[in-house]
Amino acid sequence: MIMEVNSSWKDRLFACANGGLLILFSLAMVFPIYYTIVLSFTDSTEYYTRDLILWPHQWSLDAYKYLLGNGLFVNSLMVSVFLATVGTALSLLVTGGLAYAISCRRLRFRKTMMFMILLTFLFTPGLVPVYLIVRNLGLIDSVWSLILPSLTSGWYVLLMKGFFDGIPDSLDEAARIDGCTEISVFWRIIIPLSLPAIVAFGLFFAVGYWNTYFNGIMFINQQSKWPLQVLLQNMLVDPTTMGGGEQNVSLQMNRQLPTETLKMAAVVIATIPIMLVYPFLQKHFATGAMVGSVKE
Amino acid sequence: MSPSGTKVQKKMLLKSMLVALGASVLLTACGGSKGASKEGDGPTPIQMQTLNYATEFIDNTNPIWKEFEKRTSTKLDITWLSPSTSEEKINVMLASGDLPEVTFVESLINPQLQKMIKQGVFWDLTPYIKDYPNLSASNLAEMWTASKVDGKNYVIPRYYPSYGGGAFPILRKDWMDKLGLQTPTNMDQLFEVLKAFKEKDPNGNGQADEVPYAANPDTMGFVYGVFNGTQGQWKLKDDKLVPVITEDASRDAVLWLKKTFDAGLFPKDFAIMKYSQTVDLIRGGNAGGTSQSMNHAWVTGSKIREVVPTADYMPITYLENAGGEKYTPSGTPYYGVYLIPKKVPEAKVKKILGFFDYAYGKEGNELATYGIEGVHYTVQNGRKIPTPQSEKDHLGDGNMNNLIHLISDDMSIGAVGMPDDVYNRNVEIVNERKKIKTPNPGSELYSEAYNKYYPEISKKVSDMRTKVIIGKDTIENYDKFIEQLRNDPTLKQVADEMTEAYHKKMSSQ
Amino acid sequence: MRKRSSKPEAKLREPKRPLWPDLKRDRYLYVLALPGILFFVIFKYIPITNLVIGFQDYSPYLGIAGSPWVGFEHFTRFFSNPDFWMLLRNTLGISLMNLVFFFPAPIILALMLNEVRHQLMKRTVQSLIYIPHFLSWVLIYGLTYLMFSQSEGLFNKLLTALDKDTVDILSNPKLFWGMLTAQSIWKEVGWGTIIFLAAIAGVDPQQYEAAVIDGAGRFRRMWHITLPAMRNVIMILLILRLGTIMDTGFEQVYLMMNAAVTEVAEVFDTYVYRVGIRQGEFSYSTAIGLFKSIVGVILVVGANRAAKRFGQESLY
Repeated sequence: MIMEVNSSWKDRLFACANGGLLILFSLAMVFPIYYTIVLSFTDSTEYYTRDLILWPHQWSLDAYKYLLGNGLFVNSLMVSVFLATVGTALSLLVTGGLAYAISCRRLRFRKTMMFMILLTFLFTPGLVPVYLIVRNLGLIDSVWSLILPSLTSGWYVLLMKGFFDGIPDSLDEAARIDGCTEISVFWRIIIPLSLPAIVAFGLFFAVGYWNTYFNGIMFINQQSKWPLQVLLQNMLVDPTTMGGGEQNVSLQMNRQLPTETLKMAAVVIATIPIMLVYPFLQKHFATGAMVGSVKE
Repeated sequence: MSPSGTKVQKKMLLKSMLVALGASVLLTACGGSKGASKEGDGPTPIQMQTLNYATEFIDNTNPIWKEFEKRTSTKLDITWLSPSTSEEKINVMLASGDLPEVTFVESLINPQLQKMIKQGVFWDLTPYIKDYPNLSASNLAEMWTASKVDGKNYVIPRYYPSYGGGAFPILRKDWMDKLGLQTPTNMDQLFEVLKAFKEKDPNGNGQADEVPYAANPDTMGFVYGVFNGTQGQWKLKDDKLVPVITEDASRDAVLWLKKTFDAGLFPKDFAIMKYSQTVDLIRGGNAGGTSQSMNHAWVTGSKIREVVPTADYMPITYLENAGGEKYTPSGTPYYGVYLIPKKVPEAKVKKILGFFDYAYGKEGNELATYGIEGVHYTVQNGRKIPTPQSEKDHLGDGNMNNLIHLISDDMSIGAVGMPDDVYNRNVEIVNERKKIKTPNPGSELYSEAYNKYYPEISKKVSDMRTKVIIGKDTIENYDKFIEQLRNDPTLKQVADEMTEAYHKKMSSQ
Repeated sequence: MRKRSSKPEAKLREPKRPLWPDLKRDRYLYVLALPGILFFVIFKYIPITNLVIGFQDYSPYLGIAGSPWVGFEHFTRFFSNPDFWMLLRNTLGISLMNLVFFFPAPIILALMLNEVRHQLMKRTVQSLIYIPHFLSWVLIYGLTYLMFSQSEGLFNKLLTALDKDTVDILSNPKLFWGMLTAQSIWKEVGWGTIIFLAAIAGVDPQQYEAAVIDGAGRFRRMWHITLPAMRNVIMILLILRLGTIMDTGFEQVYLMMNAAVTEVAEVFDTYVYRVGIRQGEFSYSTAIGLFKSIVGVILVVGANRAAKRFGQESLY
């Protein structure tokens, strides 16, 4: 905590305005979420016949029963959890390793590597060649097809390098004098020092993996290996939202369009687990992670 | 197709992944590998791919699947495609040349597919079909004719009835009865019915909260069809195809829509609504009508019958224009096509056709939709009553019956749980509709210029129409715009190519 | 020796040295970099070679080797399209709005959060504002409709209750860009703070204490301590952002677009989707993608030069 030496009225006014603004802001963010959750528990008939529902007359678990009652649900959940854990760990390792290497100024070919990474950020290959590579690696219908092609990106590597650059050089020099090799400097000094950044990146990766959708559609044919988002989307088939139109309308066979309450429940199920991760990571964003090691 | 050197990198990647990242047990647990099936004297293995609307896809342990394999002496390897993304996936597969032995494409007009057919990627099945009694049966003849490309059958069409589908008005029969209104048969009557829905309080709650017609621009295409007396984007005039968009009748259609919108008979948000939002309006219980296929008239209304049990959406039979031309939606008698790539040997092509022959016959056709008699259904008074086992084996809502459609009008007019009286009324309506032959000269025609330029032109026109309808632009500007289009060389080129394609098709039939 | 890269003097050229001893000395670093390098080669560079189809009339059947070369035909078609300037104007317009209003938003929010002393409140606010990130665009479209549509929108219902005329927001060309920017801010601002808060977390609290003792006010502390701590990240993100100026977030624009606003809503991404993906013109859409990328490269290289000249953090 920072000591407030001269807590004047100006400061207090600032704190109030600042806090007030933030609270207003949070409310604007929270209302739609609240609405989503409430709707997911609303009886679907009530949803369609009442104007605005801030609190349902009739609570209903139907939407959840339908979604969770799918025999594949647990399967897909496991796939998604696997992706969000193993995938995130691998991504951090690959991104961190590369970012650390190119943050060392004396490294040969460093600039070449950096420019090459930057180019991949700007030139995005089409879907077809990536599909062919995944197929040629024999990864179709394997969960690895959901991890390997999205291990990292130029954006993550360059950004993480920015964090490593911010670490004072005095620290790792000191470590090296103590006889540390590059690897142990990386493990013992760099990683702990950049913990807030690593946690942030871990969160990015985890959310990315959790939301795996398009690759799931492209690379996974067997339903038992579908990640959660693909399963939910399939249960909520609504081909008319993106384009489609007249032709599709007549051809959706006997399947009903998903009700709005069902969609909301799917959102809740798909996002709550990953949202709960954040508060656990939050403490790592607290200030002062670095100070301790400087003093040692 | 992969660049040289990939193999080495592949090995390097795999090694480094295994060594540097640690081979976890999960690798073996989750990374499944497909056992390659050997070809021998036994059942013929067939790889297939198709769209599946079911929420749970069946696999080769399913009894229906097994029954098909047994009866056709095949070993099926079916890849199901989820409808929400099938379009992207099919395009990627086509573009990558990664085609299964039986490749499914939703539309024959897919440009990629047209190019590939012309390049000879797929088998010409014309000489073979006559050897298969069920495939060449007379009730399917129209389907085979309509799906010809350059006079040849490259595709096995997936049957879908011509009548019953398509977006066309469905109206609240209970409201019309209450207000003593007749079912409209032309556009003026339709306008009057919608107006009465708005003004005469058919739901009886004393408030003018009715939405006479849950419409958005996409679902109102039929209005242009009615005014022009033709279906699709092209009209036959003096043995030439002319685009419907520049016809004067289309201007009248825009004005009718504008009049209806101005009278408050469409939702205020007409221009920005998506299809699913029009359905939401129906579910809200206060919509007098919308545009839907016949089976959906019932399916879409199901939610509101929980609140208003008498709510009854009835598909109307036809609408006629001032010239007395009757319009009702109809299409080609199939939806989606199967193709066999040339890499498949001829002997296997025959086996595959044999499979489809069985599936298009009565026995196979009913197996796909209803399952096995005595296990999945019992016959009472000539009707098939499903048993509990039917649901367990995921019959009815997709799977095998998405691979092979039931050859019956029920595909477009029936639905699970539809009561007899609604079904019987649908049968009557569809039989009436079948008497009406609204021309559709542009159907299943393809030209390079059409694919390249027409979608852009068509989008501009439909934006212009919508703007005029909701009053964001004037009819004078619309006229100017259409006049420009009439002189547009690109549109002329498209029309010429379409006319040529039309004549080619006519002469080959 | 690693140097803090923001120091201009760190850019001294190293004298030519034999290669092998250096490689050997840094072998562990190369080992660390190897998986990442392999990833980029396999999943980026090999597929990127396929971009040559932008100069071909590509057909899957003939493959890259067999498809005929057409030179710059697709580019010419694209540039001579009468809508090209409209697409460019809309793309740049939306991107610039995002750059000016959306880009600084999380920075400001992170600064505001950093000033909150009440830990519980800080954490609560933090956990709440990042939630919208998880909502899909389809859902946000639905929520926007629910709030602002003319017949059902909460906002217009409120106006009607106050005896005012309803306002047309969703099909109003004048408000369209602003609405997109507002949506983006709403969805991503909280999420965007994460990276900046991580940067702020690296600041030594003693610095603040020293500044307080020196009599520095709140805003001076922000300016001299907090902002510099975020500088690396801000510069990198800004430069990368410039590289994607031709991208506008396809899904959002596509969903929000309607007939009344096409004049201001059609962007390169929606055009490519219609023409390239739905009409299956792979070569044409690849050519457009290449054009976007080249503009991005020019902007990034330029911005990087400028950043270096002003002694700021640069990418390479």
